[in-house]
Amino acid sequence: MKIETRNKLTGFSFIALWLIGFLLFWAFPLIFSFVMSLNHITIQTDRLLFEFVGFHQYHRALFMDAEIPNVSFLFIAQSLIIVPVIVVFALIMALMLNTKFPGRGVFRAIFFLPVVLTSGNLINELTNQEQGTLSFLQSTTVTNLVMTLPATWALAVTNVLNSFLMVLWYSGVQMLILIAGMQSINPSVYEAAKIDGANDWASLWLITLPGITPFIFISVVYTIVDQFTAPFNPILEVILHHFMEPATGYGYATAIAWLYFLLILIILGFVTLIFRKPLGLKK
Amino acid sequence: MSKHKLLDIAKLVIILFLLVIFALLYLQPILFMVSLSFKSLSDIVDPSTRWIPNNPTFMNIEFALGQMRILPMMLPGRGLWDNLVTSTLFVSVLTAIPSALVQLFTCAIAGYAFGRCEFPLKRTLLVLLALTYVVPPQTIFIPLAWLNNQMGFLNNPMAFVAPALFGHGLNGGLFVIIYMQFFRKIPKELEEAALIDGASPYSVFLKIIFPLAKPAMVVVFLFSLVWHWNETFLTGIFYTRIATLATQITQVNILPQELVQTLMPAIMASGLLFITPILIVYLFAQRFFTESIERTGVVE
Repeated sequence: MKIETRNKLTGFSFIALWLIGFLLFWAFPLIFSFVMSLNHITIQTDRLLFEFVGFHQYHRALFMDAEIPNVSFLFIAQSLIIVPVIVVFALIMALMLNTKFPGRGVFRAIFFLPVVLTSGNLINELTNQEQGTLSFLQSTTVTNLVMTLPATWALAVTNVLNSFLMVLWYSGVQMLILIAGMQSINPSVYEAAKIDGANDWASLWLITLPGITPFIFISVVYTIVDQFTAPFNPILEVILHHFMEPATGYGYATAIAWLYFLLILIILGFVTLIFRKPLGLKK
Repeated sequence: MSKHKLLDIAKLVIILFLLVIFALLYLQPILFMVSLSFKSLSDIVDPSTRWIPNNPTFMNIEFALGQMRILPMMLPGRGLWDNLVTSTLFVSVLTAIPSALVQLFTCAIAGYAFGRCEFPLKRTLLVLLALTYVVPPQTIFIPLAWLNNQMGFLNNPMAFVAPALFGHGLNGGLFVIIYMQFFRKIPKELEEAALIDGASPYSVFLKIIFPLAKPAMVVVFLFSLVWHWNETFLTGIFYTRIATLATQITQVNILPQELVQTLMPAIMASGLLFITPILIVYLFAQRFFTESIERTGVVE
């Protein structure tokens, strides 16, 4: 046997377990749920009754259901606010936590703490107790300002403001990613820049930010994926509502879930497109 | 020179000032939770008591212990397992720890394959790996529940351990990527030397490569532990007769609205009981954890 073939066989034996798992726990459920989305499903006492309707449920979700465009817009509007807020906040915190000062470990421990606490139910409890917001964000000045926005945007902004602190809580992992990125930059680059007369502000823009662009990209992707299952997500509520609703049933709910999955892929594709140039991925 | 030093100190003071403010804001909900958990009724009505209760009480914690079903209900005439799974703490621990331990190993195998090995269709499989990370669980939970039902894994932690055995499971894709990035940075000579000495590729992985991945193991194990502990959606689907601590919290919330107001301290006490175990793990592991993340470089 040629060495190359043998290497490939060895490699394949390492991936085999994962591949079986993929077929069982991803490929099969995805195909199954896609078939479900093409059927109207009624629940009998002992089994599910499938009635093939083709893409009708997709058509219905996209063009006939008044709730879905509203909720999707709300989700996109919220994400447009939340994602930059989280990433910029994480970036600022990472910059501060990456400077050397006594007690840095304690601060790091505090800011990474929410990473272990971000459980949907707990966050909901805290938001219900109005612990998720910052009091100055609920002052009348801010409220009046928000009310000048178009209604749908006002709702998105209000939702975000009401859970603003919880939104910030979701930035722990991103801080870790960005700090790791900052540490990957060779310190001698900063020294060289300093000798050439660059001040800290210039080094930030010319060395740090370009150096951590891939990490910023990863933080953005992570934040978006994280938002799918975040407790402030309005689309998930609609999907789960339809799962429980006998009239629309599993089929319709799955169709919406698939559209939601496509929306996520489109958003991620769009983000990749934005970052293509700074990442040097021009292909 | 001295002007430079002064500027540096001023910068440090500003940074510290901002960090302290943000740290207090960050901790406020947790402190609120702790404070309210120990407040007695007289403290709640008394507006002058903000943080430290005058008459601290364990009543709320006691109530929450019952409401959260922390302890198993030992009923005679029922099997030991059936008795133990009535404890939410038992279910949470049995969901999180085995899954995390299994993922720690199986995701490393897949990560090694993607990071260091050659095999047919590697590029396609890499795309599929990324795909597993972005599929919302809401899209596929019914087939998964069906699968678990067929295998008898409903109401059993195996529902989470089984996919983990194959290098998947909760956020398995992310863990494979973390290992992949880590293994890519290990010098190739290490493997080659061992292979020339006559070691099989499997013992090279087990005895040389895998033990090197300790920083990645720490990150994967802790994240897996935390995410399984905090999971509410899939546990809510797969566990119909049993509950984890994370899902049990909502049960407290179902109480009538008027009661919820007076039971607020009890609800917060429930939350406190839920986060305490993971908080203890975090306090012990956090230094090692943050250092490991920097050494693995997580994702590049």
